[in-house]
Amino acid sequence: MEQQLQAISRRFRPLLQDGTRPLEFIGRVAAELPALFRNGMRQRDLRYYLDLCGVQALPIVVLICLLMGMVMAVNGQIQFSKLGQEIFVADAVGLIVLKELGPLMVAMVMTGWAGSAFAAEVGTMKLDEQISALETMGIRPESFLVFPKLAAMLISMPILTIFGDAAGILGGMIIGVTSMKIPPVAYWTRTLEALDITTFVLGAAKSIPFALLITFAGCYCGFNAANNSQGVGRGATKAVVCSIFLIVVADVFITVLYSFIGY
Amino acid sequence: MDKKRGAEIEVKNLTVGYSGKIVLENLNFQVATGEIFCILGGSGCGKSTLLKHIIGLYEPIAGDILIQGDSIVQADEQHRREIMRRFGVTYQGGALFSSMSVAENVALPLEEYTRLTPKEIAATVEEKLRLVDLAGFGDYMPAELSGGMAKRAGLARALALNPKLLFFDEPSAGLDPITSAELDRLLMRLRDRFGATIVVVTHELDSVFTIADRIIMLDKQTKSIVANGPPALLRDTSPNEKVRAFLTRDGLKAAGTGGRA
Ligand SMILES: Nc1ncnc2c1ncn2[C@@H]1O[C@H](COP(=O)(O)OP(=O)(O)OP(=O)(O)O)[C@@H](O)[C@H]1O
Ligand SMILES: [Mg+2]
Repeated sequence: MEQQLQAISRRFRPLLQDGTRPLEFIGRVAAELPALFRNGMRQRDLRYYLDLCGVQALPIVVLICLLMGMVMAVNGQIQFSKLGQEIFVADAVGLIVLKELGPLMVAMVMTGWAGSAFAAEVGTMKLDEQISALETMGIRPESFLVFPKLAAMLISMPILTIFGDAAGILGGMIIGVTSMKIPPVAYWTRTLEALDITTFVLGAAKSIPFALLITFAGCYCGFNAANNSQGVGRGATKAVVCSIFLIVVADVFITVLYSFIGY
Repeated sequence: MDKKRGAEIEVKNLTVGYSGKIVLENLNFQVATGEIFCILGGSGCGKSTLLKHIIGLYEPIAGDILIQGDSIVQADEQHRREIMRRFGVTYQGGALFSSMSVAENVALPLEEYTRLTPKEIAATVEEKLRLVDLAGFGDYMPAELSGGMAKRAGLARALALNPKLLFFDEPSAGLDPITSAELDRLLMRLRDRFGATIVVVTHELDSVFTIADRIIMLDKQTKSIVANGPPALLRDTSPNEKVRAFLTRDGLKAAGTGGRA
């Protein structure tokens, strides 16, 4: 009986650890927060990641959101033209972009852009014994490596989302003006009427939890990558898949939460 | 905790291994202050494993390790990090932080643990780089260094806080004979001039006979220490045939120590 129990526990312990170890990881990082506030973080690292996650990611984010806005407008035109109410494309595109598509597309792009890079970087550092070197210097690798990335993501994701929102609406407007022949002023006025600041803020606010998820998934998968080059590659893949999954799950929760307050 | 005079490191009844698989069993030895201490043994006998346990990266299966009288095994995380700060470790590939220049690598421990001004830090970095013959390479990125240079830069970083205790895993593996001889001279200079205690894992017999004050030899079969003493003495007088064979390079295969990597 005892042996069977042990066998069962052996079989399920790894599963359980898969659940608890990420939490442990987050805890280890969070435990260093007081030290972070006392000592600050390395400005050079922060600037590097701001550049990587913010400045360099901006063009691709804007381009993708612009195209998605256009695609939605074209689809909207097909539907609304049946009713002869093409101007409502402005409402549809504006609302969908601000509420869902903007934050979500930015998160997806940043997962591929930054999340995988974080995992590969940390995984290589582990492979290279750089993590051991940090540890024997008495520096906690978790916080030393996570904080600059996290700060940069928390700063740049909301800003990228604002740009993404704007690009999406602009994309819709381009289709509205060219294909639907709606005067730009009319399209713009209609958009402003359909949207309000709360919708925008609640949508953009999603980028904060998304940034947390992308950074933690990336770093965690890097830290737990197997110690070989294939392990680093798999770690990067895992980071992307995990963070996309987590983002979608988080989005579901947030949407339910927002629905309680009427949005 | 009682501070034993003269013993920089004390290893007591140490058993190490990975997830229950024992690699080395019941080791007992001491490293005296101010000596160069080499860990020898056939490939795969657990030298790196032992070193990584001594520096606190892994938790032993049993036993205790005292660094300057403080147990790195029983210490809580805070205290362990404090103990780790007392020594420098040079890793096989240098383990330089690839996103920082050589100078920034050496400066990191100074920025973290001292209140020196940026100017003083720059001066210290310059001094350490000169010590390892890398003056003028401060602005290089690790990727732009050769293997030997990266190793020496790693040494400069390990020396940044002037530790009295240094650990090396295979410092001369992959270095040309001249660079490797230079490294040996550097280690002896650190011992003689600064009174540093140095623990080296190595395969290079030449280097062992040049620098080592004392060695231990590990054995894969018995999972234990088969010899402990000054290298020349062991080579000439060890009762263990395997030890003599290893130290004279004779009939390694015949003696069954597993060969050298
Ligand atoms: N991370 C690990 N997980 C499991 N087993 C390991 C791990 N690292 C090493 N081992 C095993 O431990 C034993 C000792 O390995 P170790 O690297 O300490 O040998 P070594 O003496 O340093 O060899 P070399 O001279 O070739 O560097 C080997 O049998 C190896 O298979
Ligand atoms: Mg080794």
